[in-house]
Amino acid sequence: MIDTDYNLYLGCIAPLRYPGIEVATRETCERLGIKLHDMMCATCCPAPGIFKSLDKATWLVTAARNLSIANENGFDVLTICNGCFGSLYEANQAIKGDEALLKSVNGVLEKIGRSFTPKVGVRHYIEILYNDVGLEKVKESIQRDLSDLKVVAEYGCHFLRPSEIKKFDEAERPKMLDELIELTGAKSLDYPEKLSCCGAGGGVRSREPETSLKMLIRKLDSMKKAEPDAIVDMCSFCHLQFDRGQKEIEEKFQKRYDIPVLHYSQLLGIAQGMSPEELGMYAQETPVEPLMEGII
Amino acid sequence: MVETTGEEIKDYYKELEQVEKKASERIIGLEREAFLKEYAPPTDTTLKYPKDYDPTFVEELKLIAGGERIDFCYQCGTCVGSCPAAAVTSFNPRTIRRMAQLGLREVISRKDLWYCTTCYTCYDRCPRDSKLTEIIAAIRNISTREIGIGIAHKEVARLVATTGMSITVTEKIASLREDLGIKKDFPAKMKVNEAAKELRLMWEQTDFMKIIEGD
Repeated sequence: MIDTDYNLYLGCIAPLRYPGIEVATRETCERLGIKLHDMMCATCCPAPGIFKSLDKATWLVTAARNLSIANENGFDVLTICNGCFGSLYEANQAIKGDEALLKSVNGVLEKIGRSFTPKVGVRHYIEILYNDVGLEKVKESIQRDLSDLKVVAEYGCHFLRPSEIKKFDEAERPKMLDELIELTGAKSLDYPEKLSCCGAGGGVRSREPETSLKMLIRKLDSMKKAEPDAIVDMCSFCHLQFDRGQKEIEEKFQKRYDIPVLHYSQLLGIAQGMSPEELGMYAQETPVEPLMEGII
Repeated sequence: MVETTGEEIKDYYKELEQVEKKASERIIGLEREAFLKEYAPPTDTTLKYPKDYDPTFVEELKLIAGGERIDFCYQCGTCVGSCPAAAVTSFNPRTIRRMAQLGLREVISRKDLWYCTTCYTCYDRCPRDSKLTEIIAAIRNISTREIGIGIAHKEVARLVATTGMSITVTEKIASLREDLGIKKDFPAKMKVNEAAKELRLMWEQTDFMKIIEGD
């Protein structure tokens, strides 16, 4: 019997830039019998690339505070962004089994009337679908055949690495997202830069936008050769980088790709019979409309 | 020729374990300032150091969790070959690391120190398990304390300190949320703004408010 209750950790990008991903997560989970609990008073995870780079102590206590909220009901945390997943998971792991560190963290949390002990698990939507719900049950929920669709998968770095602590999938040859894509009938195409970073993380997108876009161009060039109909990601920040980044590349480098971007929750939502409007897909920067017209 | 005995190697690893443990204890509380006051660089005159060698910098890095494996690199270059930023710019993580290892404090002012996306590919593939991504973060931590915070990052950090979130709620998004039927809980009803107060209190403790305040 699987544990069907989770704390939904939204993060910043999904609710405030791509609410379609939030809706898709809530709806697809409901159809799979997963009950999501909102995390009251949760803040930014905090963004690992920025905060860990600025001050590791600040990064750690802020993540621990968010985890302390999940401890209140004791359910595992479900994340939909690899940034959030990375921050919360790594903080949880760092504190686990390190009493001196736990004491230091609690010394800070004490000032705001909170305390923390590593108790709940930090999980990712994709890994929960794969491990807890199971491929068979996900497949049963599918109403619409997507077998005409060819996509490229984007795992995002922080789900897989550092692999010494993240052992959900093979870091050099992951399969979870590909299998989840293919059970909708869609084909997941291979491409050389599949495991390369999208260029968004590490605070690079905000501080060094041009370098960030150069990394994205390298990735998009590789994707384009596979001739995909869409990119399917599992991270709100990768999603933002691919969706907005394509527009920024067009403005800055006069290069066009026009590859629609879907978070896996949105792809699953479509496969489960929802409409693109319901899933907020038509509010994205790189148009998804032409793709959807061919499918539904 | 001096031979290294098995016992010496064992001692070395024991010592490393202690350093790693200390780094994790010290992640909170900013013992750094106290350390800088107390630390006396080695006075051994039989060794020749490069002109700009700053032993304090190396020791300081070891104080930050992740920085303690600074000495482990043997310069094979696996990190460079794996690096997505190195593929599109002149950024070279091996150089950054080597500079730090040699105690060249000037590494903290390099523009390309901030090109690493923390993808952890070099970290995973390093044959010496030298935790380069964490070392780059540790160098960035010192850079932030000494040179200051970049404007873009300051904006994000201030936004989190005031609203609890790293991005603003635009009118367009608010109305989209309403159209999608998820206006109800977030962020107002989930008290995210109130939570920001707690963050500011915590960040006073970690001495972080000082970094994001001021011009």
